[in-house]
Amino acid sequence: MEDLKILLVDDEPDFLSVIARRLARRNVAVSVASSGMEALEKLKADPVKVVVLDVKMPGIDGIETLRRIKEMMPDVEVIMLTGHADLDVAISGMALGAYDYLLKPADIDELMFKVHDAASVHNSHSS
Amino acid sequence: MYISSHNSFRWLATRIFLIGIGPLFILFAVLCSRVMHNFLDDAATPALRYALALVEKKEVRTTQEVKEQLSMLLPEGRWILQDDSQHITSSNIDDVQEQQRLIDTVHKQNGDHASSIYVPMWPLPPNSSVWLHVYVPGAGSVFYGVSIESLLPGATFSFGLCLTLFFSLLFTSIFNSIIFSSFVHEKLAQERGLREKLEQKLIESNRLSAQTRVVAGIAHEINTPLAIMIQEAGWVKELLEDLQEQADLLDKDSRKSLGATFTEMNTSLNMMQKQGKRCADITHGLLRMSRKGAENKTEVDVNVMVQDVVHLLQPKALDLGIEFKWQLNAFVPAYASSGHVQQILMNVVNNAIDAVAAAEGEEHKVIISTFSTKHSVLIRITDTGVGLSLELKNRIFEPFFTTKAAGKGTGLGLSISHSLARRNNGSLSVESSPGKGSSFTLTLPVAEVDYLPAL
Repeated sequence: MEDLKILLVDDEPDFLSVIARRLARRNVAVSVASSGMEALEKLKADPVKVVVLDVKMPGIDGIETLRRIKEMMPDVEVIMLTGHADLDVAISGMALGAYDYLLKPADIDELMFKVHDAASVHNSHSS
Repeated sequence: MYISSHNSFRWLATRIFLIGIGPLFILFAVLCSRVMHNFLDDAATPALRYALALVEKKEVRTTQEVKEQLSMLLPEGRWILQDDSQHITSSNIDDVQEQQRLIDTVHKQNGDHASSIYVPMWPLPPNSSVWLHVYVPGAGSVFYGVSIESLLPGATFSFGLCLTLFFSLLFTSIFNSIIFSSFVHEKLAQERGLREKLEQKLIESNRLSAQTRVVAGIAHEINTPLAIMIQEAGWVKELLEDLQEQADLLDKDSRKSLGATFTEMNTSLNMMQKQGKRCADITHGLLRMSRKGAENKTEVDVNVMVQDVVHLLQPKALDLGIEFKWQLNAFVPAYASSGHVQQILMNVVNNAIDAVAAAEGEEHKVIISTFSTKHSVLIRITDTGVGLSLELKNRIFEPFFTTKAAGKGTGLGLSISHSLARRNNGSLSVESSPGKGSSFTLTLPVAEVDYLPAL
Protein backbone atom coordinates (compact mmCIF):
# COMPACT_ATOMS: atom_id res chain seq x y z
CA MET A 1 0.00 0.00 0.00
CA GLU A 2 1.37 3.37 -0.91
CA ASP A 3 2.15 5.83 1.84
CA LEU A 4 -0.82 7.96 2.65
CA LYS A 5 -0.44 11.34 4.27
CA ILE A 6 -3.24 13.14 6.05
CA LEU A 7 -3.74 16.24 8.16
CA LEU A 8 -5.71 15.82 11.38
CA VAL A 9 -7.31 18.94 12.89
CA ASP A 10 -8.82 18.97 16.38
CA ASP A 11 -8.57 21.34 19.35
CA GLU A 12 -8.11 18.44 21.78
CA PRO A 13 -4.37 17.51 21.90
CA ASP A 14 -4.98 14.17 23.61
CA PHE A 15 -7.38 13.16 20.87
CA LEU A 16 -4.91 14.23 18.19
CA SER A 17 -2.15 12.22 19.82
CA VAL A 18 -4.03 8.95 20.11
CA ILE A 19 -5.52 9.10 16.62
CA ALA A 20 -2.12 10.00 15.18
CA ARG A 21 -0.52 7.02 16.93
CA ARG A 22 -3.20 4.60 15.78
CA LEU A 23 -3.18 5.84 12.21
CA ALA A 24 0.61 5.79 12.12
CA ARG A 25 0.43 2.13 13.07
CA ARG A 26 -1.74 1.64 9.99
CA ASN A 27 0.90 3.19 7.73
CA VAL A 28 -0.76 6.56 7.49
CA ALA A 29 1.55 9.53 7.96
CA VAL A 30 -0.29 12.04 10.12
CA SER A 31 0.50 15.68 10.64
CA VAL A 32 -1.62 17.40 13.26
CA ALA A 33 -3.00 20.89 13.79
CA SER A 34 -4.90 22.11 16.79
CA SER A 35 -6.72 25.01 15.18
CA GLY A 36 -8.17 26.04 11.85
CA MET A 37 -5.48 28.67 11.21
CA GLU A 38 -2.69 26.25 11.99
CA ALA A 39 -4.26 23.71 9.67
CA LEU A 40 -4.36 26.20 6.80
CA GLU A 41 -0.69 27.12 7.33
CA LYS A 42 0.42 23.49 7.50
CA LEU A 43 -1.59 22.66 4.42
CA LYS A 44 0.07 25.50 2.51
CA ALA A 45 3.55 24.39 3.57
CA ASP A 46 2.99 20.68 3.11
CA PRO A 47 0.02 19.69 0.93
CA VAL A 48 -1.78 16.44 1.76
CA LYS A 49 -4.53 14.47 0.04
CA VAL A 50 -6.97 14.15 2.93
CA VAL A 51 -7.87 16.40 5.87
CA VAL A 52 -9.79 15.11 8.88
CA LEU A 53 -11.44 18.13 10.44
CA ASP A 54 -13.29 18.60 13.73
CA VAL A 55 -16.38 20.78 13.31
CA LYS A 56 -16.34 22.40 16.72
CA MET A 57 -13.19 24.36 17.42
CA PRO A 58 -12.40 27.67 19.06
CA GLY A 59 -11.24 30.40 16.69
CA ILE A 60 -12.32 29.74 13.13
CA ASP A 61 -14.54 26.69 13.25
CA GLY A 62 -14.57 23.57 11.11
CA ILE A 63 -17.02 24.93 8.54
CA GLU A 64 -15.00 28.11 7.99
CA THR A 65 -11.78 26.10 7.78
CA LEU A 66 -13.43 23.80 5.25
CA ARG A 67 -14.50 26.76 3.12
CA ARG A 68 -10.96 28.21 3.11
CA ILE A 69 -9.35 24.84 2.34
CA LYS A 70 -11.72 24.37 -0.58
CA GLU A 71 -10.94 27.89 -1.84
CA MET A 72 -7.21 27.30 -1.58
CA MET A 73 -7.02 23.71 -2.80
CA PRO A 74 -10.27 22.38 -4.26
CA ASP A 75 -8.75 18.94 -4.77
CA VAL A 76 -8.13 18.21 -1.10
CA GLU A 77 -10.71 15.83 0.34
CA VAL A 78 -12.10 16.75 3.76
CA ILE A 79 -13.73 14.38 6.27
CA MET A 80 -15.73 16.16 8.96
CA LEU A 81 -15.61 14.84 12.51
CA THR A 82 -18.50 15.84 14.70
CA GLY A 83 -20.25 15.38 18.01
CA HIS A 84 -23.87 14.44 17.57
CA ALA A 85 -25.20 17.91 18.32
CA ASP A 86 -23.42 19.38 15.32
CA LEU A 87 -24.78 16.86 12.87
CA ASP A 88 -26.65 19.57 10.98
CA VAL A 89 -23.45 21.54 10.68
CA ALA A 90 -21.67 18.50 9.32
CA ILE A 91 -24.44 18.00 6.79
CA SER A 92 -24.12 21.61 5.69
CA GLY A 93 -20.38 20.91 5.44
CA MET A 94 -21.22 18.23 2.90
CA ALA A 95 -22.93 20.91 0.86
CA LEU A 96 -19.71 22.92 0.97
CA GLY A 97 -17.82 20.05 -0.61
CA ALA A 98 -16.70 17.86 2.29
CA TYR A 99 -16.16 14.24 1.25
CA ASP A 100 -17.91 12.63 4.22
CA TYR A 101 -18.59 13.01 7.92
CA LEU A 102 -18.05 10.83 10.99
CA LEU A 103 -19.73 10.84 14.39
CA LYS A 104 -17.59 11.17 17.51
CA PRO A 105 -16.53 8.92 19.15
CA ALA A 106 -15.52 7.40 15.81
CA ASP A 107 -14.37 3.89 15.30
CA ILE A 108 -10.75 3.87 14.09
CA ASP A 109 -11.41 1.29 11.39
CA GLU A 110 -14.30 3.32 10.09
CA LEU A 111 -12.05 6.36 9.99
CA MET A 112 -9.37 4.38 8.14
CA PHE A 113 -11.93 3.14 5.66
CA LYS A 114 -13.16 6.65 4.90
CA VAL A 115 -9.65 8.09 4.72
CA HIS A 116 -8.68 5.48 2.12
CA ASP A 117 -11.87 6.11 0.17
CA ALA A 118 -11.18 9.84 0.17
CA ALA A 119 -7.59 9.24 -0.92
CA SER A 120 -8.63 7.07 -3.86
CA VAL A 121 -11.16 9.73 -4.93
CA HIS A 122 -8.34 12.28 -4.70
CA ASN A 123 -6.12 10.08 -6.83
CA SER A 124 -8.78 9.73 -9.50
CA HIS A 125 -9.07 13.55 -9.51
CA SER A 126 -5.37 14.12 -10.03
CA SER A 127 -4.84 11.42 -12.65
CA MET B 1 -60.50 36.05 36.53
CA TYR B 2 -58.88 36.49 39.88
CA ILE B 3 -60.95 36.34 43.07
CA SER B 4 -59.44 38.60 45.72
CA SER B 5 -60.61 38.73 49.30
CA HIS B 6 -62.61 41.86 48.39
CA ASN B 7 -64.50 39.94 45.77
CA SER B 8 -65.72 37.53 48.38
CA PHE B 9 -68.71 35.32 48.02
CA ARG B 10 -70.93 37.50 50.22
CA TRP B 11 -70.03 40.65 48.36
CA LEU B 12 -70.76 38.91 45.09
CA ALA B 13 -74.21 37.92 46.37
CA THR B 14 -74.91 41.48 47.48
CA ARG B 15 -73.89 42.87 44.15
CA ILE B 16 -76.02 40.45 42.20
CA PHE B 17 -78.99 41.34 44.42
CA LEU B 18 -78.48 45.09 44.29
CA ILE B 19 -77.86 45.26 40.56
CA GLY B 20 -80.42 42.67 39.52
CA ILE B 21 -83.34 43.00 41.88
CA GLY B 22 -82.92 46.30 43.76
CA PRO B 23 -84.30 48.56 40.98
CA LEU B 24 -87.31 46.28 40.54
CA PHE B 25 -88.22 46.65 44.19
CA ILE B 26 -87.92 50.41 44.09
CA LEU B 27 -90.21 50.55 41.04
CA PHE B 28 -92.68 48.27 42.77
CA ALA B 29 -92.78 50.44 45.90
CA VAL B 30 -93.29 53.65 43.90
CA LEU B 31 -96.10 52.12 41.86
CA CYS B 32 -97.86 50.86 44.99
CA SER B 33 -97.73 54.26 46.63
CA ARG B 34 -99.15 55.91 43.49
CA VAL B 35 -102.01 53.42 43.25
CA MET B 36 -102.82 53.79 46.94
CA HIS B 37 -102.69 57.55 46.58
CA ASN B 38 -105.30 57.48 43.83
CA PHE B 39 -107.56 55.11 45.72
CA LEU B 40 -107.55 57.33 48.79
CA ASP B 41 -108.15 60.43 46.72
CA ASP B 42 -111.17 58.80 45.11
CA ALA B 43 -112.46 57.55 48.42
CA ALA B 44 -112.32 61.01 50.00
CA THR B 45 -113.78 62.89 47.03
CA PRO B 46 -117.54 62.32 47.82
CA ALA B 47 -117.10 63.70 51.32
CA LEU B 48 -115.43 66.84 49.96
CA ARG B 49 -118.13 67.29 47.30
CA TYR B 50 -120.80 66.88 49.94
CA ALA B 51 -119.20 69.52 52.16
CA LEU B 52 -118.73 71.90 49.24
CA ALA B 53 -122.38 71.41 48.19
CA LEU B 54 -123.54 72.29 51.69
CA VAL B 55 -121.41 75.42 51.65
CA GLU B 56 -122.68 76.34 48.20
CA LYS B 57 -126.29 76.01 49.18
CA LYS B 58 -125.65 78.02 52.34
CA GLU B 59 -126.95 75.18 54.46
CA VAL B 60 -123.90 75.57 56.56
CA ARG B 61 -122.35 78.94 57.24
CA THR B 62 -119.69 78.44 59.85
CA THR B 63 -116.62 76.26 59.96
CA GLN B 64 -118.01 74.63 63.10
CA GLU B 65 -121.06 73.45 61.16
CA VAL B 66 -118.99 72.07 58.31
CA LYS B 67 -116.85 70.19 60.81
CA GLU B 68 -119.96 68.65 62.40
CA GLN B 69 -121.38 67.60 59.05
CA LEU B 70 -118.11 65.96 58.13
CA SER B 71 -117.80 64.14 61.44
CA MET B 72 -121.27 62.72 60.91
CA LEU B 73 -120.09 61.37 57.55
CA LEU B 74 -116.63 60.29 58.65
CA PRO B 75 -116.54 59.72 62.40
CA GLU B 76 -113.49 59.83 64.65
CA GLY B 77 -111.57 62.36 62.57
CA ARG B 78 -109.13 64.97 63.71
CA TRP B 79 -109.99 68.50 62.90
CA ILE B 80 -108.52 72.00 62.89
CA LEU B 81 -110.62 75.16 62.32
CA GLN B 82 -109.15 78.39 60.95
CA ASP B 83 -110.79 81.78 60.71
CA ASP B 84 -110.64 83.90 57.58
CA SER B 85 -107.30 85.41 58.53
CA GLN B 86 -105.77 81.94 58.94
CA HIS B 87 -105.67 81.90 62.70
CA ILE B 88 -106.39 78.59 64.34
CA THR B 89 -109.55 79.01 66.37
CA SER B 90 -110.12 75.52 67.67
CA SER B 91 -108.95 71.90 67.22
CA ASN B 92 -109.23 68.48 68.80
CA ILE B 93 -105.43 68.17 68.54
CA ASP B 94 -103.75 69.40 71.70
CA ASP B 95 -100.32 70.19 70.34
CA VAL B 96 -100.33 73.68 68.76
CA GLN B 97 -97.15 73.09 66.77
CA GLU B 98 -98.57 69.84 65.39
CA GLN B 99 -101.70 71.74 64.24
CA GLN B 100 -99.60 74.28 62.40
CA ARG B 101 -97.39 71.60 60.89
CA LEU B 102 -100.40 69.71 59.53
CA ILE B 103 -101.89 72.83 58.00
CA ASP B 104 -98.57 73.73 56.40
CA THR B 105 -98.25 70.27 54.89
CA VAL B 106 -101.75 70.51 53.36
CA HIS B 107 -101.08 74.04 52.06
CA LYS B 108 -97.77 73.06 50.57
CA GLN B 109 -99.54 70.56 48.37
CA ASN B 110 -102.76 72.37 47.54
CA GLY B 111 -102.43 76.12 47.96
CA ASP B 112 -104.00 78.33 50.58
CA HIS B 113 -107.62 79.02 49.74
CA ALA B 114 -108.68 76.06 47.66
CA SER B 115 -110.83 73.25 48.92
CA SER B 116 -108.88 70.04 48.37
CA ILE B 117 -107.89 66.57 49.44
CA TYR B 118 -104.45 65.89 50.86
CA VAL B 119 -103.04 62.37 50.66
CA PRO B 120 -99.55 61.83 52.09
CA MET B 121 -96.72 60.81 49.77
CA TRP B 122 -96.37 57.39 51.40
CA PRO B 123 -99.88 56.38 52.48
CA LEU B 124 -99.07 53.76 55.10
CA PRO B 125 -102.20 52.64 56.96
CA PRO B 126 -101.53 52.77 60.73
CA ASN B 127 -100.51 56.42 61.20
CA SER B 128 -101.06 58.54 58.14
CA SER B 129 -104.37 60.20 57.49
CA VAL B 130 -106.07 61.85 54.55
CA TRP B 131 -106.97 65.48 55.08
CA LEU B 132 -109.97 67.32 53.63
CA HIS B 133 -109.60 71.04 53.33
CA VAL B 134 -112.94 72.85 53.01
CA TYR B 135 -112.87 76.58 52.53
CA VAL B 136 -115.96 78.39 53.69
CA PRO B 137 -115.99 81.88 52.17
CA GLY B 138 -116.16 84.54 54.83
CA ALA B 139 -115.80 82.09 57.68
CA GLY B 140 -112.47 80.38 57.25
CA SER B 141 -111.09 76.87 56.61
CA VAL B 142 -111.89 73.46 58.00
CA PHE B 143 -109.14 70.85 58.04
CA TYR B 144 -110.62 67.44 58.66
CA GLY B 145 -108.29 64.42 58.89
CA VAL B 146 -109.45 60.83 58.67
CA SER B 147 -107.30 57.80 59.14
CA ILE B 148 -106.82 55.63 56.06
CA GLU B 149 -108.37 52.80 58.06
CA SER B 150 -111.75 54.54 58.39
CA LEU B 151 -111.68 55.75 54.77
CA LEU B 152 -110.83 52.31 53.31
CA PRO B 153 -111.71 49.64 55.91
CA GLY B 154 -109.72 46.90 54.07
CA ALA B 155 -106.53 48.95 53.78
CA THR B 156 -104.67 47.52 56.77
CA PHE B 157 -105.44 43.99 55.67
CA SER B 158 -104.34 44.71 52.09
CA PHE B 159 -101.25 46.46 53.35
CA GLY B 160 -100.38 43.48 55.53
CA LEU B 161 -100.91 41.17 52.61
CA CYS B 162 -98.68 43.33 50.40
CA LEU B 163 -96.05 43.43 53.12
CA THR B 164 -96.10 39.65 53.42
CA LEU B 165 -95.80 39.30 49.65
CA PHE B 166 -93.02 41.87 49.58
CA PHE B 167 -90.97 40.15 52.23
CA SER B 168 -91.43 36.71 50.77
CA LEU B 169 -90.28 38.07 47.40
CA LEU B 170 -87.34 39.81 49.06
CA PHE B 171 -86.39 36.65 50.86
CA THR B 172 -86.65 34.58 47.68
CA SER B 173 -84.52 36.96 45.67
CA ILE B 174 -81.82 37.23 48.34
CA PHE B 175 -81.82 33.47 48.61
CA ASN B 176 -81.58 33.17 44.84
CA SER B 177 -78.77 35.64 44.56
CA ILE B 178 -76.85 33.72 47.19
CA ILE B 179 -77.41 30.48 45.29
CA PHE B 180 -76.56 32.11 42.00
CA SER B 181 -73.44 33.76 43.34
CA SER B 182 -72.26 30.53 44.88
CA PHE B 183 -72.75 28.97 41.47
CA VAL B 184 -70.73 31.75 39.84
CA HIS B 185 -68.15 31.43 42.58
CA GLU B 186 -67.83 27.74 41.99
CA LYS B 187 -67.47 28.28 38.26
CA LEU B 188 -64.71 30.81 38.85
CA ALA B 189 -62.94 28.47 41.23
CA GLN B 190 -63.19 25.73 38.64
CA GLU B 191 -61.74 28.04 36.02
CA ARG B 192 -58.92 28.94 38.34
CA GLY B 193 -58.24 25.30 39.09
CA LEU B 194 -58.08 24.58 35.39
CA ARG B 195 -55.69 27.45 34.79
CA GLU B 196 -53.47 26.40 37.67
CA LYS B 197 -53.34 22.91 36.25
CA LEU B 198 -52.33 24.35 32.90
CA GLU B 199 -49.66 26.52 34.47
CA GLN B 200 -48.38 23.53 36.36
CA LYS B 201 -48.10 21.67 33.09
CA LEU B 202 -46.27 24.58 31.48
CA ILE B 203 -43.82 24.85 34.38
CA GLU B 204 -43.35 21.11 34.21
CA SER B 205 -42.51 21.13 30.53
CA ASN B 206 -40.20 24.13 30.94
CA ARG B 207 -38.44 22.38 33.77
CA LEU B 208 -38.10 19.29 31.62
CA SER B 209 -36.72 21.19 28.66
CA ALA B 210 -34.28 23.08 30.93
CA GLN B 211 -33.12 19.76 32.31
CA THR B 212 -32.82 18.44 28.81
CA ARG B 213 -30.59 21.35 27.82
CA VAL B 214 -28.33 20.87 30.83
CA VAL B 215 -28.11 17.17 30.20
CA ALA B 216 -27.33 17.69 26.52
CA GLY B 217 -24.59 20.16 27.44
CA ILE B 218 -23.02 17.65 29.79
CA ALA B 219 -23.31 14.90 27.20
CA HIS B 220 -21.59 17.07 24.66
CA GLU B 221 -18.71 17.81 27.01
CA ILE B 222 -18.32 14.17 27.94
CA ASN B 223 -18.28 13.06 24.32
CA THR B 224 -14.69 14.10 23.55
CA PRO B 225 -13.00 12.58 26.65
CA LEU B 226 -15.04 9.49 25.95
CA ALA B 227 -13.74 9.34 22.40
CA ILE B 228 -10.17 9.69 23.68
CA MET B 229 -10.68 6.89 26.22
CA ILE B 230 -12.06 4.53 23.61
CA GLN B 231 -9.23 5.35 21.22
CA GLU B 232 -6.57 4.91 23.93
CA ALA B 233 -8.03 1.52 24.83
CA GLY B 234 -7.84 0.61 21.15
CA TRP B 235 -4.25 1.83 21.07
CA VAL B 236 -3.28 -0.32 24.05
CA LYS B 237 -4.94 -3.26 22.32
CA GLU B 238 -2.82 -2.68 19.26
CA LEU B 239 0.34 -2.45 21.36
CA LEU B 240 -0.69 -5.69 22.98
CA GLU B 241 -0.91 -7.33 19.58
CA ASP B 242 2.68 -6.23 18.88
CA LEU B 243 3.75 -7.66 22.23
CA GLN B 244 1.99 -10.90 21.45
CA GLU B 245 3.91 -11.22 18.19
CA GLN B 246 7.19 -10.78 20.07
CA ALA B 247 6.10 -13.20 22.80
CA ASP B 248 5.58 -15.85 20.16
CA LEU B 249 9.35 -15.82 19.64
CA LEU B 250 10.03 -16.73 23.32
CA ASP B 251 10.39 -20.25 24.77
CA LYS B 252 7.31 -22.32 25.50
CA ASP B 253 6.94 -21.72 29.29
CA SER B 254 7.24 -17.96 29.25
CA ARG B 255 4.97 -17.87 26.19
CA LYS B 256 2.35 -19.82 28.11
CA SER B 257 2.41 -17.57 31.19
CA LEU B 258 2.53 -14.40 29.11
CA GLY B 259 -0.24 -15.71 26.86
CA ALA B 260 -2.65 -16.09 29.80
CA THR B 261 -1.92 -12.51 30.91
CA PHE B 262 -2.34 -11.23 27.37
CA THR B 263 -5.70 -12.92 27.01
CA GLU B 264 -6.87 -11.39 30.26
CA MET B 265 -5.61 -7.94 29.27
CA ASN B 266 -7.34 -8.30 25.95
CA THR B 267 -10.62 -9.21 27.63
CA SER B 268 -10.26 -6.26 29.95
CA LEU B 269 -9.54 -3.88 27.06
CA ASN B 270 -12.52 -5.25 25.14
CA MET B 271 -14.65 -4.55 28.18
CA MET B 272 -13.30 -0.99 28.33
CA GLN B 273 -14.20 -0.46 24.71
CA LYS B 274 -17.60 -2.05 25.12
CA GLN B 275 -18.48 0.07 28.14
CA GLY B 276 -17.10 3.14 26.40
CA LYS B 277 -19.39 2.46 23.44
CA ARG B 278 -22.28 2.10 25.86
CA CYS B 279 -21.47 5.56 27.24
CA ALA B 280 -21.31 6.82 23.68
CA ASP B 281 -24.78 5.42 23.01
CA ILE B 282 -26.07 7.28 26.05
CA THR B 283 -24.50 10.58 25.04
CA HIS B 284 -25.83 10.16 21.51
CA GLY B 285 -29.28 9.49 22.90
CA LEU B 286 -29.07 12.61 25.04
CA LEU B 287 -27.85 14.74 22.18
CA ARG B 288 -30.59 13.45 19.92
CA MET B 289 -33.05 14.48 22.60
CA SER B 290 -31.98 18.12 22.47
CA ARG B 291 -31.20 18.47 18.82
CA LYS B 292 -33.47 20.74 16.85
CA GLY B 293 -34.49 20.55 13.25
CA ALA B 294 -33.25 18.06 10.67
CA GLU B 295 -36.32 15.89 11.03
CA ASN B 296 -38.38 15.41 7.94
CA LYS B 297 -42.01 15.45 8.87
CA THR B 298 -44.45 13.71 6.60
CA GLU B 299 -47.87 12.18 6.79
CA VAL B 300 -47.58 9.20 9.07
CA ASP B 301 -50.12 6.42 9.23
CA VAL B 302 -50.00 5.60 12.93
CA ASN B 303 -51.88 2.36 12.39
CA VAL B 304 -49.05 1.03 10.25
CA MET B 305 -46.52 2.29 12.79
CA VAL B 306 -48.26 0.46 15.59
CA GLN B 307 -48.40 -2.74 13.55
CA ASP B 308 -44.68 -2.48 12.83
CA VAL B 309 -43.81 -1.97 16.48
CA VAL B 310 -46.09 -4.80 17.57
CA HIS B 311 -44.46 -7.03 15.01
CA LEU B 312 -40.99 -6.12 16.33
CA LEU B 313 -41.82 -6.58 19.99
CA GLN B 314 -44.19 -9.53 19.73
CA PRO B 315 -41.41 -12.15 20.29
CA LYS B 316 -40.22 -10.43 23.47
CA ALA B 317 -43.77 -10.15 24.79
CA LEU B 318 -44.53 -13.80 24.01
CA ASP B 319 -41.39 -14.87 25.87
CA LEU B 320 -42.63 -13.06 28.95
CA GLY B 321 -46.16 -14.43 28.57
CA ILE B 322 -47.69 -11.08 27.75
CA GLU B 323 -50.68 -10.72 25.49
CA PHE B 324 -50.69 -7.94 22.92
CA LYS B 325 -53.95 -6.38 21.82
CA TRP B 326 -54.51 -3.56 19.41
CA GLN B 327 -57.43 -1.53 18.15
CA LEU B 328 -56.66 0.69 15.20
CA ASN B 329 -59.24 3.41 14.82
CA ALA B 330 -57.24 6.37 13.55
CA PHE B 331 -58.81 7.40 10.28
CA VAL B 332 -56.47 10.28 9.43
CA PRO B 333 -52.69 10.36 9.21
CA ALA B 334 -50.60 12.34 11.69
CA TYR B 335 -48.06 14.92 10.69
CA ALA B 336 -44.77 13.89 12.27
CA SER B 337 -41.39 12.36 11.67
CA SER B 338 -41.99 8.63 11.22
CA GLY B 339 -38.61 7.78 12.75
CA HIS B 340 -39.50 9.71 15.87
CA VAL B 341 -42.91 8.12 16.15
CA GLN B 342 -41.36 4.70 15.83
CA GLN B 343 -38.76 5.51 18.47
CA ILE B 344 -41.39 6.82 20.88
CA LEU B 345 -43.59 3.76 20.35
CA MET B 346 -40.65 1.40 20.82
CA ASN B 347 -39.67 3.12 24.07
CA VAL B 348 -43.13 3.29 25.51
CA VAL B 349 -44.20 -0.21 24.48
CA ASN B 350 -40.92 -1.66 25.75
CA ASN B 351 -41.53 0.09 29.02
CA ALA B 352 -45.07 -1.24 29.17
CA ILE B 353 -43.82 -4.79 28.59
CA ASP B 354 -41.27 -4.41 31.39
CA ALA B 355 -43.93 -2.98 33.71
CA VAL B 356 -46.29 -5.88 32.99
CA ALA B 357 -43.49 -8.41 33.43
CA ALA B 358 -42.73 -6.94 36.85
CA ALA B 359 -46.37 -7.05 37.96
CA GLU B 360 -47.81 -9.94 39.92
CA GLY B 361 -51.43 -9.62 38.84
CA GLU B 362 -53.31 -12.22 36.84
CA GLU B 363 -53.72 -10.19 33.71
CA HIS B 364 -50.68 -9.67 31.53
CA LYS B 365 -51.79 -7.44 28.76
CA VAL B 366 -50.55 -4.52 26.71
CA ILE B 367 -53.25 -2.79 24.74
CA ILE B 368 -52.38 -0.35 21.99
CA SER B 369 -55.18 1.69 20.53
CA THR B 370 -55.17 4.45 18.00
CA PHE B 371 -57.91 6.97 17.37
CA SER B 372 -58.28 10.39 15.89
CA THR B 373 -60.13 13.58 16.68
CA LYS B 374 -60.56 16.65 14.55
CA HIS B 375 -57.17 18.10 15.47
CA SER B 376 -55.10 15.23 16.74
CA VAL B 377 -54.19 11.63 16.29
CA LEU B 378 -53.81 9.69 19.51
CA ILE B 379 -52.00 6.49 20.30
CA ARG B 380 -52.72 5.01 23.69
CA ILE B 381 -50.61 2.29 25.22
CA THR B 382 -52.30 0.76 28.24
CA ASP B 383 -50.71 -1.92 30.36
CA THR B 384 -51.78 -4.00 33.33
CA GLY B 385 -48.39 -3.48 34.92
CA VAL B 386 -47.19 -2.23 38.28
CA GLY B 387 -48.49 1.30 37.79
CA LEU B 388 -46.98 4.50 39.10
CA SER B 389 -47.30 6.34 42.36
CA LEU B 390 -47.93 10.08 42.12
CA GLU B 391 -44.29 10.80 42.87
CA LEU B 392 -43.07 8.47 40.15
CA LYS B 393 -45.63 9.87 37.77
CA ASN B 394 -44.30 13.38 38.28
CA ARG B 395 -40.74 12.34 37.62
CA ILE B 396 -41.13 9.72 34.92
CA PHE B 397 -40.15 12.03 32.05
CA GLU B 398 -37.00 13.30 33.77
CA PRO B 399 -33.76 12.24 32.15
CA PHE B 400 -31.91 9.47 34.04
CA PHE B 401 -34.95 8.70 36.15
CA THR B 402 -35.39 4.94 36.21
CA THR B 403 -36.93 2.32 38.43
CA LYS B 404 -35.12 -0.50 36.72
CA ALA B 405 -32.06 -2.20 38.20
CA ALA B 406 -28.68 -0.64 37.45
CA GLY B 407 -27.51 -1.64 33.99
CA LYS B 408 -31.03 -2.55 32.81
CA GLY B 409 -32.11 0.87 31.74
CA THR B 410 -30.54 4.25 31.29
CA GLY B 411 -33.59 6.24 32.35
CA LEU B 412 -33.52 8.01 29.03
CA GLY B 413 -36.19 6.21 27.00
CA LEU B 414 -39.21 8.08 28.24
CA SER B 415 -37.50 11.45 28.47
CA ILE B 416 -36.28 11.12 24.91
CA SER B 417 -39.79 10.08 23.87
CA HIS B 418 -41.26 13.06 25.69
CA SER B 419 -38.98 15.55 23.97
CA LEU B 420 -39.44 13.86 20.60
CA ALA B 421 -43.21 14.15 21.00
CA ARG B 422 -42.83 17.82 21.80
CA ARG B 423 -40.59 18.40 18.82
CA ASN B 424 -43.30 16.95 16.61
CA ASN B 425 -45.79 19.45 18.10
CA GLY B 426 -47.38 16.64 20.03
CA SER B 427 -47.32 15.49 23.60
CA LEU B 428 -46.78 12.38 25.64
CA SER B 429 -48.82 12.08 28.83
CA VAL B 430 -49.36 9.42 31.42
CA GLU B 431 -52.30 8.28 33.54
CA SER B 432 -51.68 5.68 36.18
CA SER B 433 -52.89 4.09 39.35
CA PRO B 434 -50.49 2.04 41.46
CA GLY B 435 -51.03 -1.70 41.14
CA LYS B 436 -53.50 -1.42 38.28
CA GLY B 437 -51.35 -0.28 35.42
CA SER B 438 -50.50 2.79 33.42
CA SER B 439 -51.71 4.37 30.25
CA PHE B 440 -49.46 6.47 28.05
CA THR B 441 -51.03 8.67 25.43
CA LEU B 442 -49.08 10.04 22.50
CA THR B 443 -50.88 12.92 20.85
CA LEU B 444 -49.78 14.07 17.40
CA PRO B 445 -51.16 16.79 15.15
CA VAL B 446 -53.34 15.73 12.24
CA ALA B 447 -51.78 16.11 8.80
CA GLU B 448 -53.32 18.97 6.88
CA VAL B 449 -55.31 17.39 4.09
CA ASP B 450 -55.90 20.41 1.92
CA TYR B 451 -54.91 18.53 -1.18
CA LEU B 452 -55.79 15.10 -2.48
CA PRO B 453 -52.90 12.84 -3.41
CA ALA B 454 -52.80 12.08 -7.10
CA LEU B 455 -54.53 8.80 -7.81
